[in-house]
Amino acid sequence: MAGAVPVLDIDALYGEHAGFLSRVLIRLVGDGAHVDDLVQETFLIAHRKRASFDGRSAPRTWLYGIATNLAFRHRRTRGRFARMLGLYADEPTPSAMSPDRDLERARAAWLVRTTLDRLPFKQREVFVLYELEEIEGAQIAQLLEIPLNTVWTRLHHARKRFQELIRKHANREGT
Amino acid sequence: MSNQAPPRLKHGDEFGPLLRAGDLADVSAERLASNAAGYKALIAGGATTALWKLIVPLLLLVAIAIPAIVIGTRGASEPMSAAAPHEQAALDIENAETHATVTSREPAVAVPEPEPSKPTPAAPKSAPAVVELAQPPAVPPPSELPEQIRIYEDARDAGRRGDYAIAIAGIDDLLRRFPASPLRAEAELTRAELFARGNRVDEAVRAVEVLVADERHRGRRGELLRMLGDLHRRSGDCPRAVDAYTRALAQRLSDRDRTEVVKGRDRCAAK
Repeated sequence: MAGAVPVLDIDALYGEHAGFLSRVLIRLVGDGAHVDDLVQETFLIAHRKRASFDGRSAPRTWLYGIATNLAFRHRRTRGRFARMLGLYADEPTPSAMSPDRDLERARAAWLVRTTLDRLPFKQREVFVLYELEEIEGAQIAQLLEIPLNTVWTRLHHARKRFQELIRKHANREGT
Repeated sequence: MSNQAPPRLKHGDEFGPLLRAGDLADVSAERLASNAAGYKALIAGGATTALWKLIVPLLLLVAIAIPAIVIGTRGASEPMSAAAPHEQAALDIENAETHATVTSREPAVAVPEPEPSKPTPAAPKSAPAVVELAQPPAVPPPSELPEQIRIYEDARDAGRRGDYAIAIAGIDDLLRRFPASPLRAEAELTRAELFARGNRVDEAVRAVEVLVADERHRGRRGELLRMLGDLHRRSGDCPRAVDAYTRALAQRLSDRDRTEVVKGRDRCAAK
Protein backbone atom coordinates (compact mmCIF):
# COMPACT_ATOMS: atom_id res chain seq x y z
CA MET A 1 0.00 0.00 0.00
CA ALA A 2 1.43 3.37 -0.96
CA GLY A 3 2.58 5.57 1.92
CA ALA A 4 2.21 2.81 4.50
CA VAL A 5 4.56 3.12 7.45
CA PRO A 6 6.48 -0.08 8.13
CA VAL A 7 6.06 -1.52 11.61
CA LEU A 8 9.10 -0.69 13.67
CA ASP A 9 11.40 -3.47 14.74
CA ILE A 10 12.22 -2.34 18.26
CA ASP A 11 15.05 -4.83 18.72
CA ALA A 12 16.70 -3.57 15.55
CA LEU A 13 16.26 0.02 16.73
CA TYR A 14 17.82 -0.92 20.03
CA GLY A 15 20.86 -2.38 18.30
CA GLU A 16 21.24 0.73 16.19
CA HIS A 17 20.52 3.53 18.66
CA ALA A 18 20.89 2.28 22.24
CA GLY A 19 24.58 3.19 22.42
CA PHE A 20 23.96 6.75 21.24
CA LEU A 21 20.96 7.23 23.55
CA SER A 22 22.85 5.83 26.54
CA ARG A 23 25.78 8.19 25.97
CA VAL A 24 23.54 11.23 25.57
CA LEU A 25 21.50 10.30 28.65
CA ILE A 26 24.68 9.91 30.71
CA ARG A 27 25.76 13.36 29.59
CA LEU A 28 22.38 14.89 30.27
CA VAL A 29 21.58 13.39 33.67
CA GLY A 30 24.88 11.92 34.88
CA ASP A 31 25.80 8.26 35.00
CA GLY A 32 24.20 5.73 37.31
CA ALA A 33 21.71 2.91 37.47
CA HIS A 34 19.00 5.45 36.60
CA VAL A 35 20.44 5.71 33.08
CA ASP A 36 19.78 2.01 32.59
CA ASP A 37 16.23 2.53 33.83
CA LEU A 38 15.77 5.41 31.38
CA VAL A 39 17.13 3.43 28.44
CA GLN A 40 14.91 0.47 29.24
CA GLU A 41 11.87 2.67 29.73
CA THR A 42 12.56 4.44 26.43
CA PHE A 43 12.40 1.17 24.52
CA LEU A 44 9.44 -0.06 26.53
CA ILE A 45 7.51 3.09 25.55
CA ALA A 46 8.73 2.75 21.95
CA HIS A 47 7.41 -0.81 21.91
CA ARG A 48 4.04 0.27 23.26
CA LYS A 49 3.72 3.23 20.91
CA ARG A 50 5.25 1.66 17.81
CA ALA A 51 1.86 1.40 16.14
CA SER A 52 1.40 5.17 16.43
CA PHE A 53 4.78 5.96 14.84
CA ASP A 54 3.75 7.80 11.68
CA GLY A 55 7.10 7.97 9.93
CA ARG A 56 7.08 11.76 9.72
CA SER A 57 10.30 11.87 11.71
CA ALA A 58 13.22 9.48 11.64
CA PRO A 59 13.04 6.65 14.19
CA ARG A 60 16.13 8.07 15.87
CA THR A 61 14.40 11.44 16.35
CA TRP A 62 11.35 9.70 17.72
CA LEU A 63 13.39 7.61 20.19
CA TYR A 64 15.45 10.63 21.18
CA GLY A 65 12.27 12.56 21.98
CA ILE A 66 11.04 9.77 24.25
CA ALA A 67 14.41 9.45 25.99
CA THR A 68 14.90 13.16 26.63
CA ASN A 69 11.36 13.60 27.89
CA LEU A 70 12.06 10.88 30.43
CA ALA A 71 15.43 12.44 31.25
CA PHE A 72 13.87 15.85 31.75
CA ARG A 73 11.31 14.42 34.19
CA HIS A 74 14.00 12.51 36.01
CA ARG A 75 16.42 15.40 36.31
CA ARG A 76 15.20 17.12 39.46
CA THR A 77 15.28 14.12 41.73
CA ARG A 78 18.53 12.95 40.28
CA GLY A 79 20.19 16.29 40.84
CA ARG A 80 19.62 15.97 44.54
CA PHE A 81 20.85 12.42 44.75
CA ALA A 82 23.99 13.11 42.75
CA ARG A 83 24.87 15.86 45.19
CA MET A 84 24.43 13.44 48.07
CA LEU A 85 26.79 10.93 46.52
CA GLY A 86 29.26 13.69 45.80
CA LEU A 87 29.44 14.67 49.47
CA TYR A 88 31.62 11.79 50.50
CA ALA A 89 32.93 10.77 47.14
CA ASP A 90 36.66 10.87 46.80
CA GLU A 91 38.61 13.28 44.69
CA PRO A 92 39.78 11.58 41.52
CA THR A 93 42.82 9.48 42.38
CA PRO A 94 45.48 7.98 40.10
CA SER A 95 45.57 4.29 39.33
CA ALA A 96 48.72 2.22 39.61
CA MET A 97 48.99 1.63 35.85
CA SER A 98 49.30 5.15 34.43
CA PRO A 99 48.87 7.50 37.34
CA ASP A 100 49.28 10.88 35.68
CA ARG A 101 47.14 10.16 32.66
CA ASP A 102 44.35 8.55 34.68
CA LEU A 103 44.24 11.37 37.17
CA GLU A 104 44.16 13.97 34.42
CA ARG A 105 41.33 12.17 32.65
CA ALA A 106 39.35 11.68 35.85
CA ARG A 107 39.67 15.34 36.77
CA ALA A 108 38.74 16.47 33.27
CA ALA A 109 35.70 14.18 33.23
CA TRP A 110 34.64 15.46 36.63
CA LEU A 111 35.03 19.09 35.55
CA VAL A 112 33.12 18.61 32.29
CA ARG A 113 30.35 16.72 34.07
CA THR A 114 29.90 19.24 36.88
CA THR A 115 30.02 22.16 34.43
CA LEU A 116 27.41 20.59 32.17
CA ASP A 117 25.23 20.06 35.22
CA ARG A 118 25.12 23.82 35.64
CA LEU A 119 23.75 24.54 32.18
CA PRO A 120 19.98 24.77 31.62
CA PHE A 121 18.68 21.49 30.26
CA LYS A 122 17.91 22.68 26.72
CA GLN A 123 21.27 24.39 26.35
CA ARG A 124 23.05 21.37 27.78
CA GLU A 125 21.25 19.17 25.28
CA VAL A 126 22.46 21.16 22.29
CA PHE A 127 25.96 21.48 23.72
CA VAL A 128 26.23 17.73 24.27
CA LEU A 129 24.98 16.90 20.79
CA TYR A 130 27.14 19.45 18.97
CA GLU A 131 30.31 19.62 21.00
CA LEU A 132 30.58 16.10 22.40
CA GLU A 133 28.60 13.89 20.04
CA GLU A 134 29.78 16.05 17.10
CA ILE A 135 26.43 15.98 15.34
CA GLU A 136 25.83 18.60 12.66
CA GLY A 137 23.53 21.52 13.37
CA ALA A 138 20.91 20.52 10.80
CA GLN A 139 20.72 17.03 12.24
CA ILE A 140 20.35 18.44 15.75
CA ALA A 141 17.51 20.62 14.54
CA GLN A 142 15.87 17.52 13.10
CA LEU A 143 16.52 15.50 16.24
CA LEU A 144 15.09 18.13 18.57
CA GLU A 145 12.45 19.25 16.08
CA ILE A 146 13.44 22.88 16.42
CA PRO A 147 14.55 25.46 13.82
CA LEU A 148 18.23 25.55 12.95
CA ASN A 149 18.49 29.11 14.25
CA THR A 150 17.26 27.94 17.64
CA VAL A 151 20.04 25.33 17.66
CA TRP A 152 22.66 28.03 17.11
CA THR A 153 21.10 30.34 19.68
CA ARG A 154 21.04 27.66 22.34
CA LEU A 155 24.55 26.58 21.43
CA HIS A 156 25.78 30.16 21.63
CA HIS A 157 24.41 30.59 25.17
CA ALA A 158 25.59 27.16 26.25
CA ARG A 159 29.13 27.73 25.00
CA LYS A 160 29.30 31.14 26.60
CA ARG A 161 28.21 29.76 29.96
CA PHE A 162 30.44 26.71 29.68
CA GLN A 163 33.48 28.85 28.87
CA GLU A 164 32.75 31.24 31.73
CA LEU A 165 32.43 28.42 34.23
CA ILE A 166 35.59 26.67 33.10
CA ARG A 167 37.56 29.91 33.16
CA LYS A 168 36.28 30.71 36.63
CA HIS A 169 37.29 27.28 37.78
CA ALA A 170 40.75 27.70 36.24
CA ASN A 171 41.16 31.06 37.97
CA ARG A 172 40.19 29.57 41.32
CA GLU A 173 42.64 26.73 40.82
CA GLY A 174 45.35 29.18 39.84
CA THR A 175 45.02 31.35 42.94
CA MET B 1 23.21 34.50 14.77
CA SER B 2 24.25 33.18 11.39
CA ASN B 3 23.58 29.67 10.23
CA GLN B 4 27.30 29.07 9.90
CA ALA B 5 28.34 26.22 12.18
CA PRO B 6 30.95 27.43 14.68
CA PRO B 7 34.15 25.43 15.04
CA ARG B 8 33.79 22.91 17.82
CA LEU B 9 35.38 23.73 21.17
CA LYS B 10 36.63 20.15 21.22
CA HIS B 11 39.00 20.95 18.36
CA GLY B 12 40.17 24.32 19.72
CA ASP B 13 43.27 25.04 21.77
CA GLU B 14 41.66 26.43 24.90
CA PHE B 15 38.95 23.88 25.69
CA GLY B 16 39.88 21.04 23.34
CA PRO B 17 42.28 19.24 25.67
CA LEU B 18 39.76 19.36 28.51
CA LEU B 19 36.81 18.17 26.41
CA ARG B 20 38.83 15.43 24.75
CA ALA B 21 40.32 14.22 28.01
CA GLY B 22 37.00 14.34 29.80
CA ASP B 23 35.03 12.64 27.06
CA LEU B 24 33.13 9.49 27.81
CA ALA B 25 34.23 6.06 26.81
CA ASP B 26 31.61 4.12 24.88
CA VAL B 27 28.96 2.39 26.94
CA SER B 28 30.11 -1.19 27.52
CA ALA B 29 28.62 -4.02 25.48
CA GLU B 30 27.71 -5.81 28.73
CA ARG B 31 25.70 -2.86 29.88
CA LEU B 32 23.87 -2.57 26.57
CA ALA B 33 23.10 -6.29 26.63
CA SER B 34 21.83 -6.04 30.19
CA ASN B 35 19.55 -3.14 29.24
CA ALA B 36 18.27 -5.06 26.21
CA ALA B 37 17.33 -7.92 28.52
CA GLY B 38 15.77 -5.37 30.87
CA TYR B 39 13.42 -3.76 28.38
CA LYS B 40 12.41 -7.13 26.97
CA ALA B 41 11.51 -8.27 30.47
CA LEU B 42 9.48 -5.07 30.92
CA ILE B 43 7.66 -5.72 27.66
CA ALA B 44 6.90 -9.28 28.74
CA GLY B 45 5.61 -7.96 32.06
CA GLY B 46 3.60 -5.33 30.21
CA ALA B 47 1.95 -8.01 28.05
CA THR B 48 0.72 -9.74 31.17
CA THR B 49 -0.60 -6.43 32.45
CA ALA B 50 -2.40 -5.81 29.16
CA LEU B 51 -4.08 -9.21 29.43
CA TRP B 52 -5.27 -8.37 32.91
CA LYS B 53 -6.63 -5.09 31.61
CA LEU B 54 -8.95 -7.13 29.41
CA ILE B 55 -9.83 -9.74 31.99
CA VAL B 56 -10.55 -7.48 34.96
CA PRO B 57 -13.41 -5.48 33.33
CA LEU B 58 -14.97 -8.75 32.15
CA LEU B 59 -14.82 -10.14 35.67
CA LEU B 60 -16.34 -6.94 37.00
CA LEU B 61 -19.18 -7.11 34.50
CA VAL B 62 -19.86 -10.72 35.46
CA ALA B 63 -19.74 -9.81 39.14
CA ILE B 64 -22.35 -7.09 38.55
CA ALA B 65 -24.52 -9.06 36.15
CA ILE B 66 -24.89 -12.29 38.18
CA PRO B 67 -26.42 -10.68 41.32
CA ALA B 68 -28.67 -8.59 39.06
CA ILE B 69 -29.94 -11.69 37.27
CA VAL B 70 -30.45 -13.51 40.57
CA ILE B 71 -32.40 -10.58 42.01
CA GLY B 72 -34.38 -10.28 38.81
CA THR B 73 -35.37 -13.91 38.94
CA ARG B 74 -36.28 -13.65 42.60
CA GLY B 75 -38.27 -10.49 41.96
CA ALA B 76 -40.34 -12.25 39.31
CA SER B 77 -41.10 -15.33 41.40
CA GLU B 78 -41.51 -14.15 44.96
CA PRO B 79 -42.49 -10.98 46.80
CA MET B 80 -39.78 -8.62 47.87
CA SER B 81 -38.51 -8.78 51.39
CA ALA B 82 -38.89 -5.76 53.64
CA ALA B 83 -35.36 -4.58 52.97
CA ALA B 84 -35.54 -5.09 49.24
CA PRO B 85 -36.86 -1.74 47.91
CA HIS B 86 -33.95 0.44 48.94
CA GLU B 87 -31.41 -2.21 47.99
CA GLN B 88 -33.14 -2.47 44.66
CA ALA B 89 -33.12 1.28 44.19
CA ALA B 90 -29.41 1.41 44.87
CA LEU B 91 -28.86 -1.47 42.48
CA ASP B 92 -30.84 0.32 39.81
CA ILE B 93 -28.67 3.39 40.14
CA GLU B 94 -25.54 1.28 40.09
CA ASN B 95 -26.66 -0.59 37.04
CA ALA B 96 -27.84 2.51 35.28
CA GLU B 97 -24.41 4.08 35.78
CA THR B 98 -22.65 0.92 34.70
CA HIS B 99 -24.72 0.61 31.61
CA ALA B 100 -24.40 4.26 30.78
CA THR B 101 -20.64 4.11 30.84
CA VAL B 102 -19.83 0.56 29.86
CA THR B 103 -22.53 -0.64 27.53
CA SER B 104 -26.09 -0.02 26.54
CA ARG B 105 -28.86 -1.46 28.67
CA GLU B 106 -29.46 -5.02 27.63
CA PRO B 107 -32.68 -6.89 28.28
CA ALA B 108 -30.75 -10.01 29.27
CA VAL B 109 -29.93 -8.36 32.59
CA ALA B 110 -33.42 -8.24 34.01
CA VAL B 111 -33.59 -5.59 36.68
CA PRO B 112 -37.15 -5.01 37.78
CA GLU B 113 -38.33 -1.55 38.71
CA PRO B 114 -39.15 -1.00 42.37
CA GLU B 115 -42.84 -1.43 42.97
CA PRO B 116 -44.34 1.79 44.32
CA SER B 117 -47.66 0.14 45.07
CA LYS B 118 -46.13 -2.11 47.71
CA PRO B 119 -45.88 -0.69 51.19
CA THR B 120 -42.49 0.90 51.64
CA PRO B 121 -40.87 -0.14 54.89
CA ALA B 122 -40.55 2.48 57.56
CA ALA B 123 -36.79 2.31 57.54
CA PRO B 124 -35.76 5.72 56.16
CA LYS B 125 -32.28 4.46 55.42
CA SER B 126 -33.24 4.01 51.79
CA ALA B 127 -33.62 7.74 51.25
CA PRO B 128 -30.10 8.92 52.11
CA ALA B 129 -28.53 6.49 49.63
CA VAL B 130 -30.45 8.17 46.82
CA VAL B 131 -30.31 11.71 48.21
CA GLU B 132 -26.53 11.55 48.67
CA LEU B 133 -26.08 10.53 45.07
CA ALA B 134 -28.39 13.28 43.90
CA GLN B 135 -26.47 16.01 45.73
CA PRO B 136 -23.85 17.99 43.84
CA PRO B 137 -20.32 16.81 44.57
CA ALA B 138 -18.81 18.36 47.66
CA VAL B 139 -16.19 21.07 47.14
CA PRO B 140 -12.81 19.38 47.59
CA PRO B 141 -10.78 20.60 50.54
CA PRO B 142 -7.95 22.98 49.63
CA SER B 143 -4.77 21.19 48.58
CA GLU B 144 -2.09 20.75 51.23
CA LEU B 145 0.62 20.49 48.63
CA PRO B 146 1.51 24.23 48.57
CA GLU B 147 2.09 24.08 52.34
CA GLN B 148 4.23 20.96 51.94
CA ILE B 149 6.29 22.62 49.21
CA ARG B 150 6.71 25.73 51.35
CA ILE B 151 8.03 23.72 54.31
CA TYR B 152 10.32 21.74 52.04
CA GLU B 153 11.70 24.81 50.28
CA ASP B 154 12.22 26.62 53.61
CA ALA B 155 14.18 23.63 54.86
CA ARG B 156 16.30 23.56 51.74
CA ASP B 157 16.99 27.28 52.03
CA ALA B 158 18.08 26.77 55.62
CA GLY B 159 20.36 23.95 54.48
CA ARG B 160 21.89 26.19 51.80
CA ARG B 161 22.61 28.81 54.48
CA GLY B 162 24.32 26.15 56.60
CA ASP B 163 21.56 26.09 59.23
CA TYR B 164 21.42 22.32 59.19
CA ALA B 165 19.57 21.91 62.50
CA ILE B 166 16.77 24.20 61.32
CA ALA B 167 16.69 22.49 57.94
CA ILE B 168 16.45 19.01 59.46
CA ALA B 169 13.74 20.17 61.87
CA GLY B 170 11.78 21.48 58.87
CA ILE B 171 12.08 18.18 57.01
CA ASP B 172 11.09 16.25 60.14
CA ASP B 173 8.07 18.53 60.51
CA LEU B 174 7.08 17.86 56.89
CA LEU B 175 7.43 14.10 57.27
CA ARG B 176 5.50 14.08 60.55
CA ARG B 177 2.63 16.29 59.43
CA PHE B 178 2.27 14.87 55.92
CA PRO B 179 3.31 11.23 56.05
CA ALA B 180 1.72 10.53 52.66
CA SER B 181 3.26 13.58 50.98
CA PRO B 182 4.36 13.14 47.37
CA LEU B 183 7.56 14.90 48.45
CA ARG B 184 8.31 12.19 50.98
CA ALA B 185 10.97 10.26 49.04
CA GLU B 186 12.70 13.50 48.06
CA ALA B 187 12.50 14.80 51.65
CA GLU B 188 14.00 11.61 53.05
CA LEU B 189 16.97 11.89 50.71
CA THR B 190 17.37 15.55 51.63
CA ARG B 191 17.32 14.67 55.32
CA ALA B 192 20.16 12.19 54.90
CA GLU B 193 22.07 14.75 52.86
CA LEU B 194 21.61 17.40 55.56
CA PHE B 195 22.92 15.08 58.27
CA ALA B 196 25.98 14.40 56.15
CA ARG B 197 26.53 18.07 55.38
CA GLY B 198 26.16 18.94 59.04
CA ASN B 199 28.84 16.37 59.93
CA ARG B 200 26.31 14.35 61.92
CA VAL B 201 27.78 11.18 60.50
CA ASP B 202 26.07 8.71 62.86
CA GLU B 203 22.65 10.15 62.02
CA ALA B 204 23.52 10.25 58.33
CA VAL B 205 24.43 6.56 58.54
CA ARG B 206 21.15 5.72 60.25
CA ALA B 207 19.17 7.76 57.72
CA VAL B 208 20.89 6.09 54.77
CA GLU B 209 20.38 2.65 56.34
CA VAL B 210 16.66 3.36 56.53
CA LEU B 211 16.65 4.39 52.87
CA VAL B 212 18.55 1.25 51.89
CA ALA B 213 15.89 -0.90 53.55
CA ASP B 214 13.05 1.07 51.95
CA GLU B 215 11.55 -0.51 48.85
CA ARG B 216 10.66 2.89 47.44
CA HIS B 217 14.37 3.57 47.01
CA ARG B 218 15.11 0.13 45.59
CA GLY B 219 16.30 1.51 42.28
CA ARG B 220 18.97 3.50 44.08
CA ARG B 221 20.05 0.81 46.49
CA GLY B 222 23.46 0.32 44.91
CA GLU B 223 24.23 4.04 45.06
CA LEU B 224 22.90 4.31 48.62
CA LEU B 225 25.08 1.40 49.73
CA ARG B 226 28.05 3.06 48.11
CA MET B 227 27.28 6.22 50.10
CA LEU B 228 26.88 4.16 53.26
CA GLY B 229 30.27 2.58 52.64
CA ASP B 230 31.83 6.02 52.13
CA LEU B 231 30.28 7.30 55.37
CA HIS B 232 31.53 4.31 57.38
CA ARG B 233 34.98 4.59 55.85
CA ARG B 234 35.22 8.30 56.66
CA SER B 235 34.22 7.59 60.25
CA GLY B 236 36.93 4.91 60.45
CA ASP B 237 34.61 1.91 60.63
CA CYS B 238 36.23 -0.23 57.96
CA PRO B 239 34.46 -3.54 58.67
CA ARG B 240 31.05 -1.93 58.18
CA ALA B 241 32.33 0.01 55.18
CA VAL B 242 33.53 -3.22 53.54
CA ASP B 243 30.18 -4.83 54.31
CA ALA B 244 28.30 -1.93 52.66
CA TYR B 245 30.62 -1.94 49.64
CA THR B 246 30.22 -5.70 49.25
CA ARG B 247 26.44 -5.34 49.35
CA ALA B 248 26.67 -2.48 46.84
CA LEU B 249 28.58 -4.71 44.44
CA ALA B 250 25.70 -7.18 44.50
CA GLN B 251 23.38 -4.43 43.26
CA ARG B 252 23.08 -2.84 39.86
CA LEU B 253 25.69 -0.07 39.58
CA SER B 254 27.02 2.12 36.83
CA ASP B 255 30.56 1.37 35.68
CA ARG B 256 31.78 4.49 37.45
CA ASP B 257 30.05 3.69 40.75
CA ARG B 258 31.34 0.14 40.59
CA THR B 259 34.91 1.41 40.16
CA GLU B 260 34.50 3.75 43.13
CA VAL B 261 33.03 1.01 45.30
CA VAL B 262 35.92 -1.34 44.51
CA LYS B 263 38.41 1.44 45.25
CA GLY B 264 36.75 2.19 48.59
CA ARG B 265 36.64 -1.47 49.55
CA ASP B 266 40.29 -1.99 48.59
CA ARG B 267 41.38 1.03 50.60
CA CYS B 268 39.60 -0.30 53.65
CA ALA B 269 40.99 -3.76 53.14
CA ALA B 270 44.51 -2.32 52.93
CA LYS B 271 44.20 -0.70 56.37
